[in-house]
Amino acid sequence: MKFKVSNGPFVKSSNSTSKMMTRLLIALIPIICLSILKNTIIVYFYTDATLLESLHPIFMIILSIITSYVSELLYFKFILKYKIADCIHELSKSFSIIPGVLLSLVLPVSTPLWVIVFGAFFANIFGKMIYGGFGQNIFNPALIGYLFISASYSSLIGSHLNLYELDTLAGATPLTNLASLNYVGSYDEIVSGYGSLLNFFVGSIPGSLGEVSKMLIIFAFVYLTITKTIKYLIPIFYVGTVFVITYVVSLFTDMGIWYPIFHILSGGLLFGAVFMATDPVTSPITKFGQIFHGICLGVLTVSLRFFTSYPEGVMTSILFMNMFVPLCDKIGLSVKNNLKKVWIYILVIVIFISMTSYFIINKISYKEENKIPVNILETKKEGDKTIYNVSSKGWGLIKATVTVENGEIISIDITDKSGETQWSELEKNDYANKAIEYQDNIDSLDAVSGSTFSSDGIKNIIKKILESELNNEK
Amino acid sequence: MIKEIKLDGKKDISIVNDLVDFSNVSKVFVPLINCNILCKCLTKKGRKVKIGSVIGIREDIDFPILSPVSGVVLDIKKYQYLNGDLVDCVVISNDKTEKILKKNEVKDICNYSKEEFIDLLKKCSISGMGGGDFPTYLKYEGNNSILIVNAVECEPYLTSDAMICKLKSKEILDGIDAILKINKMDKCLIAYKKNNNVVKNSFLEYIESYDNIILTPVDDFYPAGWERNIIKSVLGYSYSKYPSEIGIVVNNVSTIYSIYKALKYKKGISKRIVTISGDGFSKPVNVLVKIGTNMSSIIKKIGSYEGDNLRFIAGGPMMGTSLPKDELIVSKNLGAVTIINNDEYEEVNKCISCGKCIDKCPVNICPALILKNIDDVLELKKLHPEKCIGCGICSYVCPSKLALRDAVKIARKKVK
Amino acid sequence: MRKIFKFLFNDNPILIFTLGLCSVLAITTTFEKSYIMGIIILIVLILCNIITSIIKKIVKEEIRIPVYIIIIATIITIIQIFISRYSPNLYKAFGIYLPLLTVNCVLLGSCLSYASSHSIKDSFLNALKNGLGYLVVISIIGFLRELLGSGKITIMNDISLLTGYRFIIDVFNNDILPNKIFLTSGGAFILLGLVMGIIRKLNRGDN
Repeated sequence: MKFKVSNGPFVKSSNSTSKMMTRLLIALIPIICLSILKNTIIVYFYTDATLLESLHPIFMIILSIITSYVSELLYFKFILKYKIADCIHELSKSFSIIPGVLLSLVLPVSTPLWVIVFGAFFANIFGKMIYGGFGQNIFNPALIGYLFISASYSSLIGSHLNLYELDTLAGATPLTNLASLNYVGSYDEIVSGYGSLLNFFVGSIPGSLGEVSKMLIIFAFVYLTITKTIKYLIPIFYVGTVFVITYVVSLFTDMGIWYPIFHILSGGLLFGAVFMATDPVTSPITKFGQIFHGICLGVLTVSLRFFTSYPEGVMTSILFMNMFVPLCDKIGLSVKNNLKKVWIYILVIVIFISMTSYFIINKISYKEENKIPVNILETKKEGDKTIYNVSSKGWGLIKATVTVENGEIISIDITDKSGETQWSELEKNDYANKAIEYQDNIDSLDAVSGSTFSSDGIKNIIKKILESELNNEK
Repeated sequence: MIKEIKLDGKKDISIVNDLVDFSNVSKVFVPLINCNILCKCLTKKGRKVKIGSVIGIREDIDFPILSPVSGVVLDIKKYQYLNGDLVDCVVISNDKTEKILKKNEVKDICNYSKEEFIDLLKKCSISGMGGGDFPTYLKYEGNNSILIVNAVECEPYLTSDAMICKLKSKEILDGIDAILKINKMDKCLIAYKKNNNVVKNSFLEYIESYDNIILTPVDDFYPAGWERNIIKSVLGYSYSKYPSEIGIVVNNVSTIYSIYKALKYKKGISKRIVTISGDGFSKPVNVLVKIGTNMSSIIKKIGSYEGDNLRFIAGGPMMGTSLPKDELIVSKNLGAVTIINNDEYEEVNKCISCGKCIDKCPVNICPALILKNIDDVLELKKLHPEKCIGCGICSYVCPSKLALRDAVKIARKKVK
Repeated sequence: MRKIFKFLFNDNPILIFTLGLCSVLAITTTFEKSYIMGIIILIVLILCNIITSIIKKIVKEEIRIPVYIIIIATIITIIQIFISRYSPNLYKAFGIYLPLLTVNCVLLGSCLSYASSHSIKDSFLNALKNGLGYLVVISIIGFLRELLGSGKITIMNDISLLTGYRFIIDVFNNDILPNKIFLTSGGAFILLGLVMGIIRKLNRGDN
């Protein structure tokens, strides 16, 4: 009797690609529900927006999905010239729903609908189809669409606040607030404007559609790891590296443990780490390659947040590391063949992390120290008066003793002016006492010509003492 | 760390039935092949042979091929062997008298020296009956201290090793005892799957009288029967190329029974147990057949095929070869014939680089990267496809149902 | 019509051989800059090819490349001086890309591969073909980039001192279309790729 021949194991496993994608969508459902609750239901019931305006987020998501399917269908039909039946068959294998949903979840709530159509079209055609379709793209298609939108239409996207938050909160997102404060500050300055850190965790802060609720994202991560759907090493090492670097920064600038937690819980870091960086096609396939990829992503994100004007840095770092996936795979393969090479790569990682922390700390303290070049050496209190011993940078170093009473400077005694070569000019103009007269309005006093450095030195003393008095009163 | 997957055993359907004896066949076709190396024929048409006459030889190591029946040599023609190729076979007609070349019965089977033992194994043409067909005497040549008997049988549907343990457990234990004494080995560990009660109960009756034979259960996973995994589960050792480096010999339990028969009666392998099973066959059963039997005649007498989209597999469903005809010749290393219903049409998708094949591969190579670089020979050399043992786990776990094991086979040929 | 198409696009240096792309991507932010660059390259190409073809017997094999670079550099310096005198806005707009023409692959490549081994008339025709092809393609790309990127078409603005004209067309200025992504280098690459693809497809369809 004759039989047909086929290859391979004849025992079937129940796993398949469509099941993996379905599980990813299931993990996204709570996040979508929360964003609808926050941006549609609360806005409709608590402000006077119309029903059509409140339903805007739902339209965004649906339109993004429809555009992804339509753009792929057009590409299959007109550029690859398949017949209609083949087109539909290829569409079902191509899973274009995932970039559609993810793109709509990273955009802010007030995005106009035509921007989403253009973005989804660009994302699917230029981010996925021209490389060969599903399974062969180099870059994450949702992030390519987001890049297109933020590069061309950034002014139209508008703020991240929905109509309800515009009434109750004010100002920018937490990360732009951080950047404007030069990255250091107290808990009150950075966090309290939006509530406590628990608000960040649950999701009642402004942000884009999907990225606000960190608690739901962590649940999704746990669900996806247990069912072995995503590469769980990448988010762990990504978020871990960001935590380590910001923790080291917070140790050196005397901020508490809330600072690294704030960095992790703000912005699109968790959403990008769990859903974007772990896209299976655009991330490394070997285990050590994934670890290396995650750590490099963390280093890049922290560098972009602190050194450039990007407040977030997540999208750019993921797109950048997408180019280096074959390199990470080569590293993972060499470690698999020869386990001792791990130590070289661990050394490289340690160098990256320590250099980044060093440069960040340098930048922050440089900015802090260089405010006014005056050092307060000693403070003494005598009854109502406070006596300060200061050293200020003039031409050389000026040392003086300043007496303050009731918040006003009474006298300045110059104890050391040996480095000042043109001191006689200042003596002639009685500059020190003039400076005391002008202490409320010190910048309007001109420096003595011929001895500007020394004059500035005395002006800076007045500024610094008044500033420290103001800080003491708080 | 052992990489494993869990498979459904499906062993109950064939082990509950009794052994059916089909050794009374009228013609046998003895294949002239050992360990995938073709052998030279030493007989001619018309010669008379008895059980144990030499009819072929493997030239590079002088390993003989013996006749399993007594009768007349009819012809030398090509028939289908278990790897799918057509191999020269000696066609002998069976006169059913069972005349043996040299009748011999040894009283004390421990009374051999080591050199005599190795010479006996070579003369009786004992080779691995678990599928490898490796000449057994080569394994015993060095200094060994531990013997491991492999009764794990991790592939689904296979029960031939369990059947022989059920019927001949006393003889197997005597054989093991003799091997230990002849080769001055310390102990023997019989490895079996911990939920396999047939093997456990058949040995438990007699095992107390042997103090250096220990029954060792292993966990139920695939590929538990692989040499490296057995040594790791049972003893915890690892080795680089062959287990003889650390003084361990691993033998299949059917091979141990043949060694017992060689020690006791000085005769080679003439019969073996083959499992016929699968969800496309009406009556799964174990049969006792002569070496060289044509399986299609046996299958017709037992039951019928059920289903439309059937596959006829020599071996188990994970590692076996799918054959185009059911005229398969039984050789010493054929353990089972499986008939599977391949009804569901599976969508093949593109590789999504999920990494599951790399996670589960027991030899630590990367099948997905081999598939991506299938055209570039320089890249393939860095990926070491020659380490592949053909277990099929990569194709099993792939969510896109890619043909990964075949890609690694092709890559292996290219790298040579 | 088909003949003109074949003449211009068959062995086009930008679309088929992808030579000299740095000027194409950097200069084409306005239409005016691109067509003037195209005219400059046409003139320089013709002159260089003629001169190279004249002295091709005298030059030794080993020092060909420096000699040709000196020829090209001389001609470009003369043109640079002209432009800086008569239209300083244009000179500032070109920036470094005008001196960079010295090592542009189109000029050097055609000198090395064609003019050094063919007669004067053949080199002149080859230079004409390459130069016209380059001019047409760079003008198309400049036109599209300025149209989509800033919504205007500048036909004469920076050389107004020379000709006394000012001619800018404002096409549209709404929310969707002047999309400043086309003024960046990323947009330039995408547009170049699309133009390349379309014209190659039409070319193959003709053949």
